[in-house]
Amino acid sequence: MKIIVLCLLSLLCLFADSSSFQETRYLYALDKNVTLEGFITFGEQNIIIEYVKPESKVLTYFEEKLSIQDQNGYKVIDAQSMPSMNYFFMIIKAVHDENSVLLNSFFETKTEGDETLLTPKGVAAEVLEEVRITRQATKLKSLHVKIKNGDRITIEIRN
Amino acid sequence: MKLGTKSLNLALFVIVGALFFFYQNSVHVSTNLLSFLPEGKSKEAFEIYSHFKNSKEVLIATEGFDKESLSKIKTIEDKLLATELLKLESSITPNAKLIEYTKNNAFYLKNLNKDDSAGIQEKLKSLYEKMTNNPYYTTIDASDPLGYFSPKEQKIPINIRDGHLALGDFGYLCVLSIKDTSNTIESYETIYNLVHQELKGIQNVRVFSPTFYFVENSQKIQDDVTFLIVLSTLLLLVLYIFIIRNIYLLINTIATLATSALLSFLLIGMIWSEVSVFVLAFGNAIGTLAIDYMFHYYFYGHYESKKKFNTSVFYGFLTTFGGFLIFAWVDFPLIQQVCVFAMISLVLSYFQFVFLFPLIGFKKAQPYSKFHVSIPLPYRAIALLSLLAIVLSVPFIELDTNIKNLDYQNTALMKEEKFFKDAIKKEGFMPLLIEANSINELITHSNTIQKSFKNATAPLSYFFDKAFYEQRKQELEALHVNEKKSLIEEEATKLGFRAGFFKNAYNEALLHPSYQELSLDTLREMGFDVVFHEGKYYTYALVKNSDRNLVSNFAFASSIDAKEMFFNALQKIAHQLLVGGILAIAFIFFMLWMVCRKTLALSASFVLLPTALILLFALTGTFTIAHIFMLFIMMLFGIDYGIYMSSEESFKDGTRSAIFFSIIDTFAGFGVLIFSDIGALYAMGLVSCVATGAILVLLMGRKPQ
Repeated sequence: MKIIVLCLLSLLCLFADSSSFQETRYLYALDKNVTLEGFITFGEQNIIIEYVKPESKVLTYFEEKLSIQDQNGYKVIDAQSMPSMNYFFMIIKAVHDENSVLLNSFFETKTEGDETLLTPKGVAAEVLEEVRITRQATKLKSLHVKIKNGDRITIEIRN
Repeated sequence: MKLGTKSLNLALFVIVGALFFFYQNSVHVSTNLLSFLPEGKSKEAFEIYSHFKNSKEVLIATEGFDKESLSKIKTIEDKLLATELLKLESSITPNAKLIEYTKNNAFYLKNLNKDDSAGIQEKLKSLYEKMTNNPYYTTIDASDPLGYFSPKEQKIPINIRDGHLALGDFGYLCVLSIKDTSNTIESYETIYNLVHQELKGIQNVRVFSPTFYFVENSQKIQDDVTFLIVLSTLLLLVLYIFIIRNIYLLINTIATLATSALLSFLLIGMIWSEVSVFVLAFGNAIGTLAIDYMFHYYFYGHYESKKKFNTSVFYGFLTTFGGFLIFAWVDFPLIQQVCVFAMISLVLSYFQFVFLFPLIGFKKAQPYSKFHVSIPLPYRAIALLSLLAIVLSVPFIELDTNIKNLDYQNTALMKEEKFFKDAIKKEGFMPLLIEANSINELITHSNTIQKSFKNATAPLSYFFDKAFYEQRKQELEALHVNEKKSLIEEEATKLGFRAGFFKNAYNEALLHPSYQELSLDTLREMGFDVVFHEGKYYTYALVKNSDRNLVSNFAFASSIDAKEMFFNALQKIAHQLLVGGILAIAFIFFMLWMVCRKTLALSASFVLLPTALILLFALTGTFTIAHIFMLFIMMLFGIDYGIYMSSEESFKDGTRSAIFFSIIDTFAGFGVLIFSDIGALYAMGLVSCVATGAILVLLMGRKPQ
């Protein structure tokens, strides 16, 4: 049953406006890189991330809640309980929606060519150090997030 | 001399009018019903609670979770904050002072899970796997690798969407508090106008503040009372012109009523610091009782030639005055004000109509029409049946103790309040006022409430008291974390953690922070609602309405509930009302026995029939304290007619007309209150309409031959 749900969600990604991407997480605590690959789909209200490597897992970010569907089952996490992850999704959503009001609430923005540098302010500065976004013809190309604890997340959109 | 006597009444009016002109501003008229409830613990709690910012928040929500909605709420916030009159409470940025406190006391503020069944290696491995295997980015707490601590659960969770506070599924929410702590109607009006001005023309926005009730209700009540006074005055004026047909007498009568009303108002203002606006509406109607004395004297011909003292009118006056005097002892400021106003006004009018007017002298003019109707009525049967109806209905009458049913029903604002409360999930919650001798005790009490009530939210329970600090200190020592530190480092490195990553885990500063005594200012700076009043500290908590019965178990807590406060106030005066009621009824029957012994059934029916009808009406709807109060007044009023009708003269043409006109006049005075949107005045209007209608029917009768 779980496999069928996963397959159905994967199928949805194929039909929707989805892009393949590669995510690299540098974990300071472990001094190690973790690389994941998959598809990202932006819905009107949600973001669906389907990881295909190293394992098949589907994350759905909807109304500040993150649901995870994998072979072990289904669980929902309140993203607000994890500020770093919440910012991560909020930034992705704001960049995709070109929601400058949202971005300006948390960052000083500086754009040069295709690259935008977001310097966190206020509460965001407690968690984040720096965010860099590159676009290609207004579409998100890559996202680099430096976190205060030394971790780094890089997302590169392939198509 | 004659001219002097003739102008005496008008001169009196000019003097009182001048006094009123100069001193009217010193009398503070209030529209707030709560101000006129008896003093007591509940009322004091209400007043203290009104100083909390939580009690006067302004809530604004923009519909939708799109860019436009977010931009809209941010613009509204910016504009309102620029005025410096409001403070943003919905900022998701944690308070810097609170962050510092939380960081320093992290091990004392979180829940402690002492479970050591899993070994160090197992716990660290689990952390490692979380970081590497979780599909979402996961951070770990380097100060607590063994996971002893977890955050406390939030009972009413804060809903954040796109980095902004959200109101359920509706849209973005902005919560503002009023900086001005004066709690005056002027301060609330400024905020009301400011907010509505800024929101003018903006679509899909909803707004509510408890302070809006004060502004809107105050205006609506003032408009309502003005409307009632104008309507009643116009009706009475037309009626007097029609009845009296003597313009000089009419001018003098109006001057007399105005003199007694203005002087009563000024005297009331000297006794009480605040006068209820309801007294004005009621006071206007009281004049219609007083004018009865003039009607009788006028139609009896007392103003044309000297006649013997009219005892019927005197007894009528005495019973009404006596009734108000009895209820003036009830410890309820609103009832006291109405009674004292009525007593002063009646005495002044009586003296002028009975002693001054015959001196001035007025020629009697025949009214346009005379009251000729006379149908045989079985007064004895009416009296007995009414008595039976009263006895049977009394056990089934339930007193409505909801104060909101006496106030102006602002349905539009009530709808907005419900909308916000439902969305924030505060509906069904009731605030509690927590009292303590020190801040430490206030924190202890807040924690007690938080633990004792399943769904409670006690903001100050975020903190811990000295006793908890000592207990947690011992619990932490029992964990022996200092002995585990080197093993943590060793195992973590083996698993693949960066060397020294956990070197600050369970450090001394976190394990043994010095106990910080929190001051009033510190708590306020951290954003908490604490008030210091007459040597005591106060804060609040929210508990489920269904748990209200448990509140009495805690001596330090009292519920902030207008309904309960009113109920307590009623309970406090219940025995006084009962004694007053019994005294009034005894007084009525004493008067009946003394004055109308020969016509007992006829005279008693003027009290019993209106009472029976009002009680039967009460069985079909609500029956409030306003109904009871007016019922007693109407009983006293009915006895007047019983006394008038007991007189041999009553069936004579002039007297009959006087009695008939006085009931029509009372109907115009009190009956117009039925058009009021204010519950208390409407109840009084309804009761007076039923009573005057019944009296009118009885007046049409004659004893069967």
